[in-house]
Amino acid sequence: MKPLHVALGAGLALTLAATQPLLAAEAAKAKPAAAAKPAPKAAAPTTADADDIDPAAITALKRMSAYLGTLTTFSIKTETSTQLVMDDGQKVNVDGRNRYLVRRPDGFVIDVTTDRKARQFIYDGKSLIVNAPKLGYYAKVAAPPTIRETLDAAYEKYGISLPLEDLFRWSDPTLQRANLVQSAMVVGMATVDGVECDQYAFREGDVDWQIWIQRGDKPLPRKVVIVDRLDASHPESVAKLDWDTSPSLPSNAFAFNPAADAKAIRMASQ
Amino acid sequence: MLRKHRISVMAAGMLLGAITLTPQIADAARGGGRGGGGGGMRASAPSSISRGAGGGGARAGGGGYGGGGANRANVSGGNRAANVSGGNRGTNINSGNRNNINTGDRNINNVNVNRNVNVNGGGYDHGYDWNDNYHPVARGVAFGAAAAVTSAAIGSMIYSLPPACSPYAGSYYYCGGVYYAPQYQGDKVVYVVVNQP
Repeated sequence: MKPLHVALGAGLALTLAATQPLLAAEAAKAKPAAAAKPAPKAAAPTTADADDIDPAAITALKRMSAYLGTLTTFSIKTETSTQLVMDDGQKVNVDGRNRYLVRRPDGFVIDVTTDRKARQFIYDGKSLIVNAPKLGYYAKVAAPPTIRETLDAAYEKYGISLPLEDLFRWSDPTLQRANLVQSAMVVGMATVDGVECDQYAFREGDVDWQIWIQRGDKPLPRKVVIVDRLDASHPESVAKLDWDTSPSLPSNAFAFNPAADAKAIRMASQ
Repeated sequence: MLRKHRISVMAAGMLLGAITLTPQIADAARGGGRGGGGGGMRASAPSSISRGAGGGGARAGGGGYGGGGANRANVSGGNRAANVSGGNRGTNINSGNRNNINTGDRNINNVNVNRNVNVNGGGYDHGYDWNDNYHPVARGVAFGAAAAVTSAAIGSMIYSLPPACSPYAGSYYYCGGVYYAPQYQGDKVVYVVVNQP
């Protein structure tokens, strides 16, 4: 049990539980789902004790997820920092700026630009294009009809995962992501770039993660921190998200126009 | 830091007698780097919760740093949380192993290409892209410290081309007797040695 949880979360949890009996039921539902998972191998043992789940944090996550599900189009600019771990455990940060332009269920452009790499992922409902603009290479492969399926296929067939894929999973009610966490706590009020948020912390498998959810009627994720507990150095990635929930989408938003000297290359499948 | 890694990588190279190219890529691919001629980066923080802890897949599939690697996805996130989110551990392990077998086979026949060039300095996305090139130090060693060689095995891969290459027949490159085809391995660009196109 985390002291922080006791100090900050318990009071709020009690208050909410008293006013909303449903929350207790949700917490109870969450518990068996978490307990059914195989125990993490390398990490410290964690138990899905009901005490570790603050229903207020689960509720906030579900509320955010439901809101994300209502967004048909959105664009996000993110600022990221990802830690790499050297063999001796030393950590190095690589910063980046990503841009998402999304139209559910079948279109996105995701620009991933770090200080070390630039990639563009374009999906138009039929094909996925992986573009390396600075190298002048691109590959085009057939893709399933939805974003979710495409992300899964990209990962399983090609070993490609995109930053913050969670955005597309939280919003999928069938996945019930909120029920997968082993612990959930309310950290408290916080601001991200001047926006009032509530901060929450979760543990899920070998990953600890935190999320800052905007207060008010647009519960958007404004910041996400993900910690890999599997590696002894516990590298983390941080992303701050700047949202536009009603972006203008030109008709050719998901069309790919390679540079004149760009070369089409193949994509190795696994 | 770089010097330290360079030294350790060089030492590994001397012990092995030669540093092959493909193990370097394999190391990069699994986010590991302990084995073979690799060195440098061993893990990277996941960029999404769904894809989970970095290196998790590699360790699950190969039983540690020295074992079989999974794929590049592990560099940016292993499959641990994919399991949590309903993914199938067996599937993940298989995909990792498949990838490893592919590159592993190439390892066996791999021959070093010695261009004896210091590529540590580099520039954006070519010479100093840790994701594309895994680690500038390791890459420099792969090119700079390998034994002299006259040919490269078909199918072996490198992260960036040796100097003095010419474009050849569309997207191929011809570099001192060796033909390379660029391709994506995950979202990394690698150059695969091919027969003359």
